Amino acid sequence: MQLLHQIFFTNHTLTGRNCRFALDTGIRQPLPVIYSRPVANIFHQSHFDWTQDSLPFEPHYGWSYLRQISVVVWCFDSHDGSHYKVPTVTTETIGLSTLLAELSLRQLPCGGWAALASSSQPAIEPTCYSALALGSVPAGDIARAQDFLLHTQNPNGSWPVFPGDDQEGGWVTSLAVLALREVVSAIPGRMRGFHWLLNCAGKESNWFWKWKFRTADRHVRFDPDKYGWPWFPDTVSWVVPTAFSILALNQIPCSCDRVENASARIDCGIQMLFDRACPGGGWNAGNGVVYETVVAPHPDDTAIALLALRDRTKEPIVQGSVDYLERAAPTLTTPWSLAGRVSLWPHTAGRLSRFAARLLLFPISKAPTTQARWHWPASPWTTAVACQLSG
Amino acid sequence: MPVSFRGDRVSITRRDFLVGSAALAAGTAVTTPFLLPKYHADRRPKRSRVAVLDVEQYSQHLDQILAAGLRLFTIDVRDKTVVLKPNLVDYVPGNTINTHPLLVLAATESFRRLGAKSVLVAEGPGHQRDTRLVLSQSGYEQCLKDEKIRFVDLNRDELIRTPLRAGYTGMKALWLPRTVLEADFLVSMPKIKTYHWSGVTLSMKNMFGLVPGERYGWPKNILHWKGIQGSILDLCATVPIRFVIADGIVAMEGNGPLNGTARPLGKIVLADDPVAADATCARLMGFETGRITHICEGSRFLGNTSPVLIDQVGETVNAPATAFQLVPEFRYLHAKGVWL
Repeated sequence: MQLLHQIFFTNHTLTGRNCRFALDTGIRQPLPVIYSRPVANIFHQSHFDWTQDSLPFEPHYGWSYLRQISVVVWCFDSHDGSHYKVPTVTTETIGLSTLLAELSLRQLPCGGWAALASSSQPAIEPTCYSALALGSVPAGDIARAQDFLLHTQNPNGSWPVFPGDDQEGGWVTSLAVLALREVVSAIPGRMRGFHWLLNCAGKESNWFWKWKFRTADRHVRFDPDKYGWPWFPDTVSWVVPTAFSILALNQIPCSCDRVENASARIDCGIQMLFDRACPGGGWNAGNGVVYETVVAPHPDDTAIALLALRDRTKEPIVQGSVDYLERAAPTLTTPWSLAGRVSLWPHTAGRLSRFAARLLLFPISKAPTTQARWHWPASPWTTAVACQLSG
Repeated sequence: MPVSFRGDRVSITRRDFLVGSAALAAGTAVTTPFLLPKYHADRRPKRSRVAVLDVEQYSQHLDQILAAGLRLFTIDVRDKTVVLKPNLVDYVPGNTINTHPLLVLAATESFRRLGAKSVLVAEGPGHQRDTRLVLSQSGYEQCLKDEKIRFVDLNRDELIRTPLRAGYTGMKALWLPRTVLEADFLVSMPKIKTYHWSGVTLSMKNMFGLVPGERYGWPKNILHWKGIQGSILDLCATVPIRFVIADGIVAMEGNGPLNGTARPLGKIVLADDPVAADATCARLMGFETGRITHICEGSRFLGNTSPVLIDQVGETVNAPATAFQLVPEFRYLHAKGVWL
């Protein structure tokens, strides 16, 4: 309870956003005693509809404020006795703690996460991001998340996009393999996942479709000899699944049998990424030029492709794409695209300031007010990515 | 044992008979799928109603104009959940790709006034994975937030396996978003555009946004592989469009849906039948509706294209003085007598 009283002098107004501003700017004003709520009530409210004219619960007791309490407790514990003069209370650390708390709150009973906060249907993509995020800073029920992933694997080694999906497998297989990288009990499952990835290829790898794309269907400019991975089997390669598959296959232990063709497959995927880049730098879904017209790149696709090309920093395409992201960064206002931008820290060492991290966390800090009203209150999808990257 | 017809003139053995029967059965099996209808039910209304409104520019008065237009129809949305499905694909500075947010706001206001229990906007952008970035850059975010309009990202909504009610693609089922399947009244709000893969993208093609990217990828490549025209028909047969509000104030021609050029048309098209709406839009673009595959086939079971069966209200539908430009593969869509 002592900590709670200290918090009252840290917060400025009711909302989490203002709380962070207060910490950033050094504003410290007392709040009414009404905030002295038992800690046991933290996270008692998980889902509500902000589209209603009035909030569904008495606002002073909502979890969004109590969530802030958990944030500040985390900071104070690190600097016992000197919390009001702690210069290291930064937006980044508070943001990370908040996001981890948010993730724990959003975990479904099955152990997975849904893509949207309004949804109760777990999906593999947000679960993988969340597991990766929680694995970096032990918090929440990471073991339950990993169990969930292990139990949803398809018999053929792939992962479905969500439990109950058709069992042919999907692009999230690479993400699941990445998310289970440090789980000993997942080794057999991961190996089956690697094999599935190695056997999966864009449809243009088949001679017939190669021929078609070379002769009859040439409106999209690409080289069918350079193929990667599709979103799901029996379609052509696209940038995002290819980039994630490259990241996953790079984790294959060298001594594994029957995966000797992995390096050739990775090289082919990398060549595909280079081939599909937009002429001015960056990537979109995978169509750089259509009907002789250059199609604009997307920040998130570009960031994910660059992550897969971390070892190719000297390539002009990589340099040009980093330049594109630098140009695009000031215009980005959404967590997902900014998360991709920040993820390139190792890629752009010396070129990227912590300003980008603040850009990333700022929109997320608004989650309890604006995003929630939009049916994606700090969606686990973006929260997990931001959490992992900012950590 | 020989079988005789007309005495000894024609005789076939049992083996001949069996072989002949098998051949007949095989031939029937091969040809029947082409002869039988590929849809499960004929849902054409006896008569359709289309209104064309003259609107020169996007303004704050759109809600009044739209409300007046909706009064031309018998619409009962009282206590119903209305889902507005705009065309929100991507954002490219300077390109008029998306349904204008002011029109979506006006539609929301109009349906609220008509007594809808709730009105929400739902879309799954086909090109951009960051849905919120598209909303932000295209001006939707602030508008929807100010008016407290709920938005659902259909690319990541809860999914329900849904059997398709037509067989043009051969797909048995698709995973589709719960929000749309549970809606009482689905309104398709396309941008009137040309499209380099199917000629036009109007209210029926707008349904591609229902297909979740999380499951099927970005762009919704499965629909291209299965056939765009067939996919449009399968989707529209499965998820009925109850009303159409098409944004043609500033349309797009040429290399649509992303990189075409703006074409001021000055029209909003309202309709209670998506096929009639698309046929009307196609006429306004200077195209021959009978040459657009999904509109022509849709007129067999989804709606009406014949002017005889369409009650035309509002402005008269006239072909433009100059037809919309198309990529070379679709120039055959141009109607006769229209200046190209």
